[in-house]
Amino acid sequence: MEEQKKIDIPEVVYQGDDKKLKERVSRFKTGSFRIAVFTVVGFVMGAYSRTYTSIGFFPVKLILAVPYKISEAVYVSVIGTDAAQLQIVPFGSMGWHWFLTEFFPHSLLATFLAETVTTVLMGGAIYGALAYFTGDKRVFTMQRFVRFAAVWCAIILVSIGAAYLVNAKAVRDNENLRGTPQFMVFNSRGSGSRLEGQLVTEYFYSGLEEGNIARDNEEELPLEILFNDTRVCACRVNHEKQYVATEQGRTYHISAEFAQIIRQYEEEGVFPPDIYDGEAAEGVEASVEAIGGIAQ
Amino acid sequence: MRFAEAYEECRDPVYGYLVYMTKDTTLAEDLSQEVFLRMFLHLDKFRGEASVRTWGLRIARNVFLSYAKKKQPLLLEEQEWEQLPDHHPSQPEEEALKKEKAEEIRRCLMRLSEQERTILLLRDFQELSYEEIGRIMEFTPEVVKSRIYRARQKFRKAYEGESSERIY
Repeated sequence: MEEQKKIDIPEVVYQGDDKKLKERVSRFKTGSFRIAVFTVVGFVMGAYSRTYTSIGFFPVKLILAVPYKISEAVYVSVIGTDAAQLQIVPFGSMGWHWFLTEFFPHSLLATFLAETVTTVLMGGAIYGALAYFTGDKRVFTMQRFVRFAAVWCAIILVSIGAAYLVNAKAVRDNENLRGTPQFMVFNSRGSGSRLEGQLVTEYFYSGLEEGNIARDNEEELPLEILFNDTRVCACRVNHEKQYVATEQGRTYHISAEFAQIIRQYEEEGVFPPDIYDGEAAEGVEASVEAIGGIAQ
Repeated sequence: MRFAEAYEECRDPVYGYLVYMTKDTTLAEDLSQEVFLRMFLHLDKFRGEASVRTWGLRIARNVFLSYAKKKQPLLLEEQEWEQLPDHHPSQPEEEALKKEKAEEIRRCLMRLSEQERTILLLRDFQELSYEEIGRIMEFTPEVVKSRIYRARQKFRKAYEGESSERIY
């Protein structure tokens, strides 16, 4: 076999223009640049997508709304969130209104991931895909598009997964009443006030102990707790039996001092003056009129 | 490695291989564009274990096979040269005569299967080693050696047949 003579095959040299052979490479470069530009535009559109409601001109409104509405559809309709489970009194002028989203009202971070990050990514994916289809069909083939779309789907799924994980952790922490709390205390007449401060936090945690307490729903009042400025838990408090119940029904004993604060607010409509311990009472007494029935 | 260097290294081998495999310079040019695009896209994955020419020819073969399977399965079979569509038949007579032998060789090559044609082109046209051919065709060097032997025999038989046809 070794001695077999090789076959003299005539040489073939490319005599055309090199640009011709590199044509697809240059088309790929310009097409990729266009996709990158469109993707960045998509990110910006995604970032502002939430503002579509304030746009009057319908075509612009429609274009701007697409990423947000897709994101909303995925979270709210396709997968579903726990927003409906949160029976919360509207915060009105108390400054916590940004929690009241249809995405993840228990967690500001999860809401940010769902409402902003996912929407921005959706915008990038949609506008990037549009640019993809304007490219040279020989270079930007359907097969390559499937890979392109798969990568975007994976990125978006990661952001969706992260939002759900963050929310799950937030709900777990809420159930454990973990974090630095601010309270929104409501009385049975439907008005509420914000309560916060070091002394209040100490009173809240000093006697806090989980226990299997027989609940008395009739005497319970709404108590909304904002933990670490990022999580909301809509609890119920009973100052007579001195317990607080979480959204999922876990019950904790509370201290007599904390129960006294709730009792005084229920009976007199004000908090004991000494609980602020010299702190500025900014925001306190900024009571809101609860919309009847929601929390009661 | 920069794309420009890889392109310079692979331009003629890739184009030449595709011309012989397709018998169509326009199609060979088109497929070469795809080969160079793939090289550009995957240049970062090229680790230099084989020569850039071997890598380029491997891509060229994959591009050819993928094209032929989808669009022209005839190219994968043993064919008479004339049976294949010729996109550049109108050569001037003088030039055609000059290239008579070359044409004869091409004709005989087309009588081989795709594998035999590829293996002969890689060995006798591209002058690759058995190892390099093995990398491209996913054979061991021993298998490459025996396949080359058989392909050459088959080629010679076809070539002798051509010659005797010419004489008589």
